[in-house]
Parts: sequence; C-alpha cells; structure tokens
Amino acid sequence: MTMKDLSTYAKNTWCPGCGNFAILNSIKTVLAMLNEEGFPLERIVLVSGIGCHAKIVDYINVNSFYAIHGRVVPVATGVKLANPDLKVIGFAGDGDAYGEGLEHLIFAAKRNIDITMIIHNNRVYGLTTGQYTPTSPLGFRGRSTPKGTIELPLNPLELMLASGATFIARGYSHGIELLKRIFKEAITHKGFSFIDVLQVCVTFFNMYEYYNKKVYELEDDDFQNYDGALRKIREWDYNSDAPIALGTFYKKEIPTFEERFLEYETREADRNLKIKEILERAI
Amino acid sequence: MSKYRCIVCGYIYDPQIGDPDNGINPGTAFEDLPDSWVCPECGVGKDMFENL
Repeated sequence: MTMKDLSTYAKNTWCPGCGNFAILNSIKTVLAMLNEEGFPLERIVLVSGIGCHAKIVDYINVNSFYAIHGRVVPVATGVKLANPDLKVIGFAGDGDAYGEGLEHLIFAAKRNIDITMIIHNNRVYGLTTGQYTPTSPLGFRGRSTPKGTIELPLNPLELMLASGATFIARGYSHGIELLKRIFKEAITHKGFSFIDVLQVCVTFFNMYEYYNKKVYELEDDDFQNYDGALRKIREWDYNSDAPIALGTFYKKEIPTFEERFLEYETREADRNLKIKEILERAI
Repeated sequence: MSKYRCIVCGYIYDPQIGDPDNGINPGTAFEDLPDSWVCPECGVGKDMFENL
C-alpha cells in the first residue's frame, strides 16, 4: 500500500497555500501505516461535513460518507454502532463542528463513542468567503462583520475536556510530522478522540506568520491529569496573545459507548429469552 | 545540496530527508524534484520556495 494507491482521480481544488493539504497528506500516511500493520483499509470509514475540509474524502481512496452541515458526528456514531469493527474517522470544519453541530460533538464526547474527530479549524467560513466562526478572535473582520466581531471565541479543547472526551490534542498544518503522530495516536485510542488542527485558510484568514511565532510542542506526558490538562488548555484561549501548545493534552481509557451498548443488547436478548421460557412453561 | 523553505507556510524541504510519503527519496536535490511536486503542508508549487 502506497500513498499513490490511496489517491483518487478527483482533481484537488483547495487554494494553493491551504492547510488542508497537511491534513490530507498526514492522514494518508497514517492510513498506509495502519494497513502495513495489518489493519485492512476496507474497515476504515471516513465521514466529512460541509465546507472546504469536506473535499478530503474525495481525495482518499477508502470508504466514505459525505454528511450534511454539522452532522459528521451523528453519521460517524451510526456507522460505528452498526459495525463496531470499523474504524470511523470524522472530518469537520470549525463552523461545522463548533457552530452547526456543536451539540453532537459534546454528546459524542460525553458518550465516549470510539470514533476520531479531526477538526480543520481555520477559524473562518472559507467556502462561503470569510464569515466569522465560533473560534474567530474578538474583532475579526469578515464579510458578515466588516466592523469586527463583538464576541469572544470559545476554547474547543476546554469544552471537550469538560464534556468527557478521552483523547484531546491540538495540531497545526505547518507541522506535518506532529500531525502524523497525533493522528496515529488518536485513531488507535479506544474511545472518543478529538483533535483540533490549526489549519490555515491562506485566502480569508492567513495566520501562518502568527502561528509560526507562537506554537510550541508539549513535552510532558502526564496525560491522565485532568487539572494539568485544563491548565495547559487554558494557556491560550483562541483570543489572547499567548503561547500556543501543540500535542496531546489528555488521554484516558474508560469503557466506550458501543461496549456498553452491546452489553445492554446482550442483556435484553437474555431477558427476552427468559420471558419466552416462562411463557412456554405457563401455557 | 541546500535546503529550501516554503515562503507561504514555512515548510522546509531537506534533501537529506526528501519527501518519502510523496515518492521523493532521501538524497533528492530540490532542483531534481519533479515540476508536479507541491509543498506537502500547503500545496504550493516549487516556485514558492526560497533557498536557505
């Protein structure tokens, strides 16, 4: 399996300079790696939403599902529950995941469903030519806010930690080696994995120069420390002029939603069998 | 063989490493990269790289 085998005939229409290329190249490398390690690619399912990011599924030669705006998580959840043997990887934009589909993201984290969500966070609606999203900084000037936004952004990592996500990481599109490591770790993690990727939209919100000055890689590996993760996550709130940590912030293993769901299904089947036995004895 | 930097995103092409994920073997000089090669991190062409 090579990167070429994972490519498709679809012409890439992202703008030159777009951070989506880094996510595409990283995930293809990781899928090839998983395949080499013995995981069949036919057991991978990709799900995307609506926005520039969504074209990623057109460019990767594995099974995929184009969901509607904000609904990557429910589709990915359904696929996983229908066949828990699949590895399900969802791609969503920041508008998609933190705007239209925020409640789905929170409940997926709360349930600890074993899927991976990769958020292409360019902090702008790029496909619709530059409106502000839930992670745009205060004062962001775009098509819908020519005088600047008057609201603070949310910190998606803090929200995911509070919601119960069991794997939380942040990557940056200029940092492909780290992205590969995070994606591999997230996909092999058992439970809900969340990765916020600072993916630069070169056309409507070019943050390369700023991020290149601010990012650094986390060094400690105290992944199960909730308070420590919260402290690291709060260092940058997506608005202030602070250092921006990249890497894994939090990781914990607890039973997944589908494990509990299947246990419940088994219990229900036993219950029905017992009722049938009682009825047969009585009649 | 010198390194080259993408002036859009900052990616550095190191000929010692190449770009194996995209079929470029270690030891390939920047000048020898095919014209179809693009920055693996942001997709711009070779003309957007500067010699370091």
